Amino acid sequence: MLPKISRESTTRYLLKGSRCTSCGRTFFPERSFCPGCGRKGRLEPAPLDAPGKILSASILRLKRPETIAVVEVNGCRIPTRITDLEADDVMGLIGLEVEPTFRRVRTSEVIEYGLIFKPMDGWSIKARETKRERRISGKAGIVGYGSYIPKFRVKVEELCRAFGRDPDVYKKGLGIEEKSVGNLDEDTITFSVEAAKRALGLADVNPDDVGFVALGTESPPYAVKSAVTTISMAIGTSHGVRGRTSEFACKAATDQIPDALNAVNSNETRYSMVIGADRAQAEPGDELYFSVGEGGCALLFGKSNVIASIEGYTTYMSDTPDFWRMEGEEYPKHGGRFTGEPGYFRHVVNAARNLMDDLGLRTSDFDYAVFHSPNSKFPIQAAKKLGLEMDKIKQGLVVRWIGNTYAACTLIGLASILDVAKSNERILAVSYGSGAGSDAMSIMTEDAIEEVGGITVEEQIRNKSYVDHDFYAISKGVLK
Amino acid sequence: MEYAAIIGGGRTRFGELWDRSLEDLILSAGLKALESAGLERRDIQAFYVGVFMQEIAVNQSLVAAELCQMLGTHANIVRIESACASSGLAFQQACLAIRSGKYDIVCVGGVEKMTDSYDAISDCLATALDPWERFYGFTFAGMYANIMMRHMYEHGTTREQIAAVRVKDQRHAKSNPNAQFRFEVGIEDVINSRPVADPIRLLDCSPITDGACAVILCKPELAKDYTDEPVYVKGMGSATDTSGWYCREDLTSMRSIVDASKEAFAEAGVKPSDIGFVELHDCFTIEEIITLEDTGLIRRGSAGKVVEESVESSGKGKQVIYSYSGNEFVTNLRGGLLGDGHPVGATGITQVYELCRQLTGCVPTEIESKYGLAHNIGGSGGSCSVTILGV
Repeated sequence: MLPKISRESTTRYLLKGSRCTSCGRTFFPERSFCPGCGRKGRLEPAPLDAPGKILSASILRLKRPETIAVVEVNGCRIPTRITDLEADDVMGLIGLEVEPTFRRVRTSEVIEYGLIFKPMDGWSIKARETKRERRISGKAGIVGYGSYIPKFRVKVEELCRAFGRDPDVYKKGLGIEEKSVGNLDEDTITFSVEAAKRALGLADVNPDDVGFVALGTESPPYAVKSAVTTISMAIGTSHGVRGRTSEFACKAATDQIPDALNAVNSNETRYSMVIGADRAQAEPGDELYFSVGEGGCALLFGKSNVIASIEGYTTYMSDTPDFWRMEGEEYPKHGGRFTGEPGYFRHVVNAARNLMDDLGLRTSDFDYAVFHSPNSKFPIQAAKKLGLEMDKIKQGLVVRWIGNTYAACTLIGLASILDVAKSNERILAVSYGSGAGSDAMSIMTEDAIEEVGGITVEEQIRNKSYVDHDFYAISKGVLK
Repeated sequence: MEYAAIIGGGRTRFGELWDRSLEDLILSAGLKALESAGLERRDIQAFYVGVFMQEIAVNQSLVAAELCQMLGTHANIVRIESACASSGLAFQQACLAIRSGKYDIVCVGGVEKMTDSYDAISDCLATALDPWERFYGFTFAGMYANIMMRHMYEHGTTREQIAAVRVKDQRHAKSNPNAQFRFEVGIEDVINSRPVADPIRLLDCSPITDGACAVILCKPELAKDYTDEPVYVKGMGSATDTSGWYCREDLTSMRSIVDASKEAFAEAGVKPSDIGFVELHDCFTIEEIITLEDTGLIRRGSAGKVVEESVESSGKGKQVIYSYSGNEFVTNLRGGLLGDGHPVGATGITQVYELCRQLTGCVPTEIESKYGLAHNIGGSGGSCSVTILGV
């Protein structure tokens, strides 16, 4: 049996503390009795999910160094671990500003997640000066979005060095310079939580009002044990939330968008969320090893202050074995060149054409387009086949700097477009999932998009720290 | 008025005692104690045993029944657990039992068999940390590293001053035939030893030790019947502090030590400057600095300087005598937890036993004093016992 601390989640997921209204002191974790005031004390919940400062720390020299610390947040001290830290001088850590981040804290019988702290990234988030007026639309649309790209990068050149390949051939062949890599305490769930919180923050939506959460991924941490339960509780939804984790290769997330819209349109819930996140496997030395990236992206749907509407949604699906991994196998296999024409291009192009036919639109009606990007070449060729100008796909084509983030890939590209789009612009978004299918969407931005701002994809692409192949191999479990 | 008199004691060698079990160790220390007091097992009316982690380290509980079976006595046997302060507190409970009039003669022991769980010992010890500290990956070395860092930051204590604690302990341990480590080290050796939990290095840490110790207590008025040189328990204090170090208002002080010391000094009717012999709980080098300050032996922020200067002025191979406010005293003449070893459950009672030897002239030293202080803590100061002995 797991001990309570391994089973309960609110304290570690939300950093809940208690504040005594009699003496004003704040405690972590939650308490029901004030040690200062005794029975006269009155305790109320105190959220401690906020930036703080390091009071003391130690770098534990374990198998890999780990930094533990005591951090002060809103006048309350919390014992914690500091992650994503590249420091060797422990005395220099006193006073360092840190912010919470959702990570794997420890693995016992189960993976125990929680909020720990990392050095402040100092994003240039546009401060919202006034509370936005609520404008309710008749139909559900996108009200918020959030992307999460882990901080670490490995260069394709470095991977080529490790495998004795010609870097120029690979960089040119894939159109990928570097790929995002999560830290050792990150996974699909942690990417999802960070992305989802950013989406909620951008839309200024109370997580209690989110009644449907869907995660699309091919790399859930557990074979059996829902990932979406952890994500929902970590972002602070109520227990009435309905959740689902599903797989459809790289279109596992876009696949869920109609369900999320229906959940709002049918008045099941005020808000719903779709998350795509992956930390996908690739066999060392295989082509995929040079192209898979890691990250997550969340879309929040609702009727209040819609920033972008989904004008139309079309799927094109067939039974095509271009990429697969059987139960119990460690790495996926793929059909090499077969993945191109009969796989990617057939589905992407047909889904896009069918969508345009349905809506009576032409390619010239779109201001932006984003396609699933297993590399840079495929989306460029797909755009050419559809007759789209290169200018329109540039903003969503981020694979060159982060790699193919699988189920998050199309959504991160879309987020990058939403980061810069003005109101009344039309976006074509087409995902592709091996096996195989494509979802094509026509998305129309609304006036409200100009009122919101969050951590942009571009900023995250710039905020990076390089790791070598040794770290990458350890993180992938290749060097166990 | 005294609580009790100590009329005998004995201990085992400390170290990695691969051929001794927990039972062997406690039996051997107990028999030595009986022999030194000229008593038989059935003269003992009750036994008090301090042991921290036998359940997790050697998979055995109910030490009382084991002792009954080994000794052939059916007397009352009480086990006390308070992490590393287990036998310091067991000793105080025994004193209270004598003082209450219930018993005339009792035996107090402490034991730990740590090497059977060598590979898991960090996890065993960490059970004495706050559950949330443990959840986020704190270890005891990591915990004391945080304390050390705060002391350096707030009071300007230097790395060298803290390292001097180990230098002093090893000087003393060299002449203790029972000690785990009998070699001298220099300040540079400590500072350059392997990093464990920055800023803590290997030589800042006490070792993993097997060992046991026991003493015999009796009513003060009966003491002269058994020995010409009884040592009396003059005063004692014990107190607690939060399990989580992070909860404490002052991160460089342990409230349990402050309160327990005040209580013990008040009861004994002596001042810190009356104390000549100190056995303090230096599980990590920084803890000696904290203790010297929290007991009131040295003013806060000054202990590091006193330790380093005393080590420098005493010269290689010599005992280190601290001189502060006109009082001269020594700490950890047996080598402390760092040099003698730290069989966690046995540490508190070993301090009492060794203090008796120091007060009765069994240990060569220039210090002449009638009073000694034993300081034993559990966790990161979550529990503390301070006992003042006198002759």
